[in-house]
Amino acid sequence: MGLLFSKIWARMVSSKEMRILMLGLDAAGKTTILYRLKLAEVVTTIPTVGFNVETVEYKNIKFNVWDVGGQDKIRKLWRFYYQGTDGLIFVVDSSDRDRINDAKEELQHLLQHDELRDAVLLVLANKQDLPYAMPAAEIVEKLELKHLQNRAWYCQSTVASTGDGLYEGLDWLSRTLSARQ
Amino acid sequence: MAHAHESLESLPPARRTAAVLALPGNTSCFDCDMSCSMDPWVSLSHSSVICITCAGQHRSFGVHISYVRSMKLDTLKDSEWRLLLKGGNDAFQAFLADTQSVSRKVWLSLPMETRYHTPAADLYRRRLQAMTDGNDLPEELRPATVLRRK
Repeated sequence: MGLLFSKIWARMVSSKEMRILMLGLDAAGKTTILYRLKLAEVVTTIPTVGFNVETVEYKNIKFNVWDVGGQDKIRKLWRFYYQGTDGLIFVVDSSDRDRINDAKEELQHLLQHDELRDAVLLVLANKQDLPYAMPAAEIVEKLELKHLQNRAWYCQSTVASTGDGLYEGLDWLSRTLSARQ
Repeated sequence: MAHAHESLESLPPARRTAAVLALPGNTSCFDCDMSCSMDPWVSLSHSSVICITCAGQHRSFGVHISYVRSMKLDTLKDSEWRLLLKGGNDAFQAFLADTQSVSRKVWLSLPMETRYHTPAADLYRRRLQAMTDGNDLPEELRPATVLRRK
């Protein structure tokens, strides 16, 4: 009984660490999301050439978030960040209709990698404040998320500049990752 | 100037960046005048060359205002190269001055968001788009668009 109690107690107070990899096409809003979560404010970003990493604590979970640059020619560097990833956040610029297909191809390509086999997938349909932004349901369709097999996934609409939707996304990640422990 | 009339097909990929940078005004950033030929970024919406810092600001407006690419880190399409070879910083600035009397000095004095919501910049964007699509070039200025609150 004492052992059981201490186990429960340990589960309640110890904060877990989760490795989160945040990817997506350039200018999707990855860095803005990272610093919105870390600092709760909007920072003026410059395009990421390389990566940013921050630890964000939320609901007793330490999210170790890696944000890697998304320009065409540096996407081939993404694979060096795959190992040990618990959750993949894929950020999409919902107002960029011209490149939603590129986003789909990058995502589908990513998910084929063995190192990401066990990672859960959170898609953020970002920039919902912009004119003609595709709603989350349309992003789900365009990215063909419903065709995914053996993958826990969720699509959340967000506005990184105001923070709208970001914590709902983290809620899903923490629930989904905790449930599988 | 000679480069402006050079056809894309006669330019090997390695020389395309140099050809774009050789257009008048293209060695420094359109929005801060900083020299940026070592790491040129472009706004395809305005066929202009900008620095990485201003590229960050352009991206915050959304792709409907400015679609930004890196000449080093992105692979541009042939149609995008063609557009870049037709434009250039001095051509954009001359259009702003002719259309709405926005001189270089005035442009640089405006806050970044205001610049790209001026009727002259809006018209220039629409003209480049029409040129790409092969449509008639619009001539009418539209009232300044309402700024999005951040």
